[in-house]
Amino acid sequence: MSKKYSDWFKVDLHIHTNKSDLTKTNDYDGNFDLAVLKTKLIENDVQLFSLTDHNIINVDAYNSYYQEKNDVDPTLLIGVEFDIRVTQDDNSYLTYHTLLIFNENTVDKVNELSTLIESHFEQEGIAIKERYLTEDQVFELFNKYHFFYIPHAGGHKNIIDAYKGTDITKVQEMVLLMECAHEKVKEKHRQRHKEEFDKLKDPEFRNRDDEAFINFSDNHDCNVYPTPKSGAVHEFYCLKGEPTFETLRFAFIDPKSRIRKQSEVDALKNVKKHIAELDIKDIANVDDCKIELSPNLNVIIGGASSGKSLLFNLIGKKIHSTKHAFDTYKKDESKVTIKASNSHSLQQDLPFNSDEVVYINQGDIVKYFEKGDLNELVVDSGKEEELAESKRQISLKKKQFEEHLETFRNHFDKLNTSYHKDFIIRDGDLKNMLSDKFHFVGISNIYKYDDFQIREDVLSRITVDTEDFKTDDIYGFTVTEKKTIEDFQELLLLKSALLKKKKDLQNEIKTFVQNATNSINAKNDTLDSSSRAKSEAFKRKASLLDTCSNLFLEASKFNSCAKGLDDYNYSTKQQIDIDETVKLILEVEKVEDLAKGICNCINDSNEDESIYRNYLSLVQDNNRLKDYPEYTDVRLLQKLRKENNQIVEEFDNPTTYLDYGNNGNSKNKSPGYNAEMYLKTVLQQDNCNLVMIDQPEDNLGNTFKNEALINILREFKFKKQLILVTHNPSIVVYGDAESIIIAENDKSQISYHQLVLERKDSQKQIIDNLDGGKAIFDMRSRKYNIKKLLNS
Amino acid sequence: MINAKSKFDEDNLTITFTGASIVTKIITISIKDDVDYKELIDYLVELIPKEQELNAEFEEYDLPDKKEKLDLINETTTEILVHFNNSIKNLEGIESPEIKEPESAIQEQVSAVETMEVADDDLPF
Repeated sequence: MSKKYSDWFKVDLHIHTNKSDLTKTNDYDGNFDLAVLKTKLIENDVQLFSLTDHNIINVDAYNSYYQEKNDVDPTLLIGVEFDIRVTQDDNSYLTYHTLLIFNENTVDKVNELSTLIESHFEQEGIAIKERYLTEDQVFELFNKYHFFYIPHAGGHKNIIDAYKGTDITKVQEMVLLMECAHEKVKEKHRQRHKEEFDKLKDPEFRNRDDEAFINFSDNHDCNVYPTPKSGAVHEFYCLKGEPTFETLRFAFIDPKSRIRKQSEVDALKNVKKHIAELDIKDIANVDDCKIELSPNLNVIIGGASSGKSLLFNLIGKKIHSTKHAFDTYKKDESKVTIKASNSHSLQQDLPFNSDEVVYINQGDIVKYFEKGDLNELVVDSGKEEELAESKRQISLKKKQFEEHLETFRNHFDKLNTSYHKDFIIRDGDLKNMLSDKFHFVGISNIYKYDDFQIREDVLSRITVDTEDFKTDDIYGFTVTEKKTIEDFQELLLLKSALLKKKKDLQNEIKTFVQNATNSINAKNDTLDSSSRAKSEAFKRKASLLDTCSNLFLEASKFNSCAKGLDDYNYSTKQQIDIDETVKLILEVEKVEDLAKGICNCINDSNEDESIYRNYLSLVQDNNRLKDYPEYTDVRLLQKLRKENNQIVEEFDNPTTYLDYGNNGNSKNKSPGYNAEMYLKTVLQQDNCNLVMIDQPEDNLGNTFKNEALINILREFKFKKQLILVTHNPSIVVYGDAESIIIAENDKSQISYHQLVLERKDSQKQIIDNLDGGKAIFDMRSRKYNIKKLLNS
Repeated sequence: MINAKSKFDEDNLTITFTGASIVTKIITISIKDDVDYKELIDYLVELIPKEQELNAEFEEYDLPDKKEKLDLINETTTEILVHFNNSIKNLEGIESPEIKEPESAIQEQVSAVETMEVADDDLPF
């Protein structure tokens, strides 16, 4: 194996030689030459193949290949394509073709198997071109061998057609019970195949991706290899691991992770930037070694204190993760070098951008969710400043809310003061106003004054905005356009001067009117008592009208303020981008009705009425302020605050949750759900190339389902590089880790070795190092609920 | 628009308020001695939230012996109603608390429907 981890290779277990011409008339299309085929196989980078003639073994070809084979040549497994006869209900028969691929690859075994086959057909007296086997004969003949049964399941001579006229359930059972893959099934028919086979499976084994479909070349002319007999373009299938029979077994158990078309593998290999290699040198008490990392799932396993986390943090330090804890080991790692996938040489370190890496230390996620402390997540993400700013914004909103209550109180108080006045014209005043006595009539109400402040503000704003507009290059003004703007600015200056002139004039009029009023009042004071009474009566009438005017104005202001509070939504939300897809939300939710709280300050308030209407009752009867003997402005504010204290507390303690974008949010969700969603969301980030998690099973806590974690890892391992420390065999085996790094500590000397799942000796080491590992391996091999199937 | 129709009826001033947005209201103010506008003021304060101006109208009166007094009351009443209308006109520009609509959380989810190929040229089942 060229790589220390499970990598993809091309496989072709269905290649004919001219030996097939002996058993089928004109079967082979060219002149078979083993050397030509071998060259073509190497050219096409096929690493595992078989010569599968019809009902016969080309012993010479196998022997020749095995005798000349060197270590780098493709592996040749012994195989045959048999005609399998199926007796129909009317005693006629149909045949289908199946490959038998044996776990054998030696000269002796080729001779042994060939002799077995030839003897059988001779004993049965079957002519060479009429050869066939029944399924029972397959098991009788080859029961002492380990082989895969790979029937044609679509196209010419397929197993389904052969059973169509009889009991099709039998073939489904048989295929399920055998270690098997389906050959020659078009992609568009695979789902239907799965569904048909699913009918026989235990419900928990349905709708899964572990029905193995694979295609081989079925080449009949080595000179045009890999073109099949049909002449169509052949697309190779690839398996992951070493080119061995055990790799085939793993592939047929876990096809989704281990069988891919060449085009899919090309896409997978075109992965983002990842760590390719770590060269460990001169670290005290750690053996020197080179670790090759898969672009997919890498797991670091080992016993307690074996050096798992040391390696994890060493990688963290080399990629400049801010959260690595390597320094706590007090070891010098200056001689350790690291290589990127897109680099040809090892280097001192390999910085990743912060958004390219998700680095989760042991227990981080539990800390975030099980303890509900999302502040920790913010700190770990380096977003403290953003959090502080968000809290400040919410604090401002709280202040605004409190100011609204105060404003409401102030408006009410002015209305209340305006209301408690006298609105009577006395009979005496009427008479005095109608008397024939004279008096000097005041002129203070003659003039209606303009509000210049508003106009000045408008002019000032326009002047500033126009200057900003003119100097902003983005508009690309032409000379003519600039002239237009400058003309407008000139107009603004003119109008500003005009405004000033009018304001000065109005001030002069005001002064004149005031002086005139003073003179009139002085003159009226010198009149006789009847005239003075007439003058005072008119003043009181004017005062009454002023009181009315003021009351209506205050009532209008209060109404406007109260109306705003009737519909006031105090909810507010602040968001902090934790990373590319996860946002921390600080939210003040509207759970209390502000209008209800405001009205509740009044005895016998009516919830169905508006705030304004309710507070008119308090205006009319100042004894209706709840819990107080009588209204005062201070008491009202106290009461308003008390009744709405819950809202203020909500501002002080905003709901904190994570927004996972398309994956929903963490609000009111269990820690397990949140851990899953958080992990899934960070894994989904487009920019993220590398995910490092120290013991995800611990991170996710007991509430998290193992299966969910494994599904997430399987989903994302082909999209970004994953490096995990784990002691969970399920993650290793069901996650189908491409690279397994085992850490060992022998008398305080740490060493690292690399293993792959599909190697038998590796499996033993993995089992020895992971509690429950053997059970997991056994369970993984048991693809379906076979016991239940047999009973049915 | 709310109509406010006033008329003098012996020793009373009667103002009838009508309009689509209100229940008809009749306010009677004695003008025999003091003229107390309290009931009118209370009602006008109640009308503020309607935010509608009043269309004031005085029925003609032919009472020569009281004309001057009635004119004065007419004038005062009309001025009160004008002040009411001014307060409605001035509503614009009065600050009210910011009313925040909840952020729209509605996101249309478009589900892609995959159509299964139904060709069965090579389908063994």
